[in-house]
Amino acid sequence: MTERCLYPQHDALPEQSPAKPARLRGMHAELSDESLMQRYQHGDVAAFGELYRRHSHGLYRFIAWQSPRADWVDEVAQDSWASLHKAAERYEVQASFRTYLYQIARNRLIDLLRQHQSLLASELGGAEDSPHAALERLGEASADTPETALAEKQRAAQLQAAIGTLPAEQREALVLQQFSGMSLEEIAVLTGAAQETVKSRLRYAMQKLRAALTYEGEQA
Amino acid sequence: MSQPGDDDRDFAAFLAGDDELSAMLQQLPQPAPSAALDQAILAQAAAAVAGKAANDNAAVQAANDEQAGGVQPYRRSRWAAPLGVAASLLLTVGVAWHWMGGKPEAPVILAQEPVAEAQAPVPAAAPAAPAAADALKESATGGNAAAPQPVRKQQEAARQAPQLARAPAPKTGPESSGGHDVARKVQQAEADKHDKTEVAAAAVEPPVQLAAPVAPAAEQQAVGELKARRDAAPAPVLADRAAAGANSIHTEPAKAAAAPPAEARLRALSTTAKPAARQASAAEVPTAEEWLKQIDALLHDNQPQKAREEWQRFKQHYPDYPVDEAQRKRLDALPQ
Repeated sequence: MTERCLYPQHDALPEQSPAKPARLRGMHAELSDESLMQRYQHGDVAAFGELYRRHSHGLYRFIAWQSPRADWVDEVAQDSWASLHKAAERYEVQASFRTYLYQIARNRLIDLLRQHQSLLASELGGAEDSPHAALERLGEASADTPETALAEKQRAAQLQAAIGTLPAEQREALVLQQFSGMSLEEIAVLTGAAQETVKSRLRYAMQKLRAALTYEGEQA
Repeated sequence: MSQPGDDDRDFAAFLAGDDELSAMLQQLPQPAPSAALDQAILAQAAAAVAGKAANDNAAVQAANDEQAGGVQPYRRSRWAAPLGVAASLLLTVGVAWHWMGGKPEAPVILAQEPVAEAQAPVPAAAPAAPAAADALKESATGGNAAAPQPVRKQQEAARQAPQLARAPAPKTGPESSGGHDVARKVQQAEADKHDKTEVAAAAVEPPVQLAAPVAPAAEQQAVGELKARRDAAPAPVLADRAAAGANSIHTEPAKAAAAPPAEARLRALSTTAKPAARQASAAEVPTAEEWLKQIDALLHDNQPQKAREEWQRFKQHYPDYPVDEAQRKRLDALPQ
């Protein structure tokens, strides 16, 4: 059995900026998120680059899975990093930096959902612009051969559909734990729920996804 | 069939990513930020840091400019108002000092007062005066006003005696005129008094040495007290001079009754601490009534020359005493 990274988003970290000196990059890579944030507070742009390298993909996945509209994802991601800079002077090392960063993005999403609640309700029937539709298209493009492509497409579509049917709180816990690599404790801090509650949400999500896959398999 | 223990193990494996479902989830295609978005966010952060650094540099530059004198106008404007107030106060004090310092109220004049000061009534200050006068007195004497009070009282009484003799009755209320009018009247009254008393002292007898037991410092305090009293409230000597014929001596009990507590305290202190010289000079000069009786006795003894001399002395000491008109004509008609 091959050993897999518990935090899959770390497997796909973007390459370092070519303009960044290797010596400085190595020094920053050894620092914690909180130390990097403190350096960024004092104007160290390289520290911000290291933070972005570590968390940009995980944050983007979280936003993409939680956003009801695909055209919001880039905007929310950019706003979140911009808000991080604005709040840098007030940043204090209390919780983990990742929780702090995701909290910014989560609040931004909640604001957008409140602002566009009526519009989203009218678009509920059409899933053309949903991020899940975009994920489906992304899955289609990644297929290698026609046979495997068909099989993977079906399984991805089933899984994505099952995730889409989860209640928002369970889907959020699932995305944060499976796609962003957060621990139960971090999810509890971010969502403001008890750790046991987070655990229950994840257990229900797992059971519903298994049931959906089993049902789809039996139907096939 | 799955057991509860199996569920826990499955859930733990799901959380750890060791089961089939988690593997399927990891294989799902995941969205990723585009390179353009990456560049935009990184450029935004770099610009923000640069802007902050520019602001910091501007703040540092401003601080340096301030240290180098570049922000002097602000400092000047900040100190302009207090400096203006201080300069105004200084000018006012200087003018007031100059104005008050040039008046003929030196202690030397006090030494030339007539001996009648022993009978001079103590002027009753205006009702509103004592508090302010006491306060000024305290400040003028440095809080040690108890010791020199009797001396000051004597000098003040001696200086005001002739004026009070001319005043019909002391006014108990404050004068309606301003402080400058009050001071001007005081100066006028003192000038008149000074002229008369100088003539009397030169012609009749040497001046009473009232100032002899008074130390110079005490005299200065007395003068300061008088100035403060003038500024604080009008004195009864400012009464209308047109009514100068009235007998002010008979009004002394009323004035004493109307005197405020501080004035009464001063009066008590002065009576208990009178200098010996003052007591002696008071013993030399009889009262007006007694003096007139003595003159009548001389006339009865057929000593008109001596009676005339006494009459002249009497007029010097009691110029405003209401002598009976017939008696006055008779005494004035005495041969040389």
